[in-house]
Amino acid sequence: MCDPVSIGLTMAGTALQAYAGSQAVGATKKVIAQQAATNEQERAQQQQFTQQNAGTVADTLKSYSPQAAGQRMDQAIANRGNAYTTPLQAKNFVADMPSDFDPNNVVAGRNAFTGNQQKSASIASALAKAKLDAYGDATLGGNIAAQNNSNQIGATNLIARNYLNADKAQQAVFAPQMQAAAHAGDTTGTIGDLFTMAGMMNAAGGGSGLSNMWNKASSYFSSPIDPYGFSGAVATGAPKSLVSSLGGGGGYGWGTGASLGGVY
Amino acid sequence: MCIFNSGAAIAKQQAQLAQGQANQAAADAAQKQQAITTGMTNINNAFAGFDQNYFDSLAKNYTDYATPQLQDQYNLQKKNIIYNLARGGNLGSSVYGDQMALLDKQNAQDMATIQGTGQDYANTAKQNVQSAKQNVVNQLNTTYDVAGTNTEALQQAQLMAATPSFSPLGSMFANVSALAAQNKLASQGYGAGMSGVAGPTGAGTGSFGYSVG
Repeated sequence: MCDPVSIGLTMAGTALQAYAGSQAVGATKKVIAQQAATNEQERAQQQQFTQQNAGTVADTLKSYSPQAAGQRMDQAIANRGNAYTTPLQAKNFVADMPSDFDPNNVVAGRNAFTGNQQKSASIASALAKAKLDAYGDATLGGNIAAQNNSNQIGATNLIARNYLNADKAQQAVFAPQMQAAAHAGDTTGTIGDLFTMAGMMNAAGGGSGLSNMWNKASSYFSSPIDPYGFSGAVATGAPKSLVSSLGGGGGYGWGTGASLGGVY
Repeated sequence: MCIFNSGAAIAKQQAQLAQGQANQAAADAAQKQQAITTGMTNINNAFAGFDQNYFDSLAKNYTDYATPQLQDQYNLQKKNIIYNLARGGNLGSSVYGDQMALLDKQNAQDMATIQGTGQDYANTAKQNVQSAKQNVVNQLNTTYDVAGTNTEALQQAQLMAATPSFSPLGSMFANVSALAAQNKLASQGYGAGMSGVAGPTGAGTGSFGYSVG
């Protein structure tokens, strides 16, 4: 005859173990899902940073394109040309010619021609100089724009790296979480084991006639489950006490000692 | 059978510890992003005054400083040419026109040079401003110190905004003076040669020019 307490306790332990196992699987799944979500979130964030940098790089490349460089150069030449020729355009070269001292109109006319010619030559010379000098302006402008873009990329990279490090730190959490989830079954399983052990102890107590003592011992774990003292009935009413134990193995025992072997 | 299940407890503790570190890292990353964003905005604001108008005005400051000096030198040189030619009696000659043309040509070149120097001052200032800005940006990226870099940016901007010291204009018509002197000598030599015909020596073709003055 089976000991109902032991069977009940053992069943409860088995059920708890199964429950704990399912809980552990659930926890592991949850951790994996968290990990995947974090991965996805970080991937999206890094992609955003990459896109941002790609935009800045594209802007830099555009700035260095032949068209943009040509436009910048043209603008620089125009700026220098205007700066150089404006005062020359405003200057009256003819007025400096010595017509005041020369009553001869022919000489005055020649001097005026020389003055005008001189003005044209000077403006042409200034424009040529502007073209030469403008190269530095255009280069400087391009370099400053590139450096500003480089700063922007550097800042974005720095931010991205910090978030990547934070994500690595978060990823480092999942390994111990997984481990904890795997061991979570052990925790609940242990409770089941305790129930099982209590049942075995009850059975052993019945077999040895020491039910009261074992009841006291097992009641610590199973007193709510064993309120009717079935273990005593086992001890007196059953010469052959079948000790069922899923936790520690079973054993047929006659009297004292034999059923205790089942505990070990 | 493990009643107290120490493995699970340790793993849980490790997970909690790692989670704390991860939370800290995430908070740091967000804080650093905020620092960089705010810091860059502060730096850009501090240097915002250094736009193209500022550098154009800087170039104009130099031309305003140097042009009157050039004009003074031009007027002085013009007087010298007139006086020299007047002494030789060649004031109404074509030599005067040639020398004045030469003077004007040199003057035009000098005016362009002054404009160019003004632009160069502006470019140098641009480079200095960019360099100062870069230093502050680097400082921000290293320290993430928003307040410190903001103060540094404002100080640097103030330093950069100080008017640069311009070098005084050197002698701009040295070439014209030398040519004028050569022309003067040539005209005097020619005159001496002519007078040499009737000179006490009866010699001289004018190419010697011994009787200068």
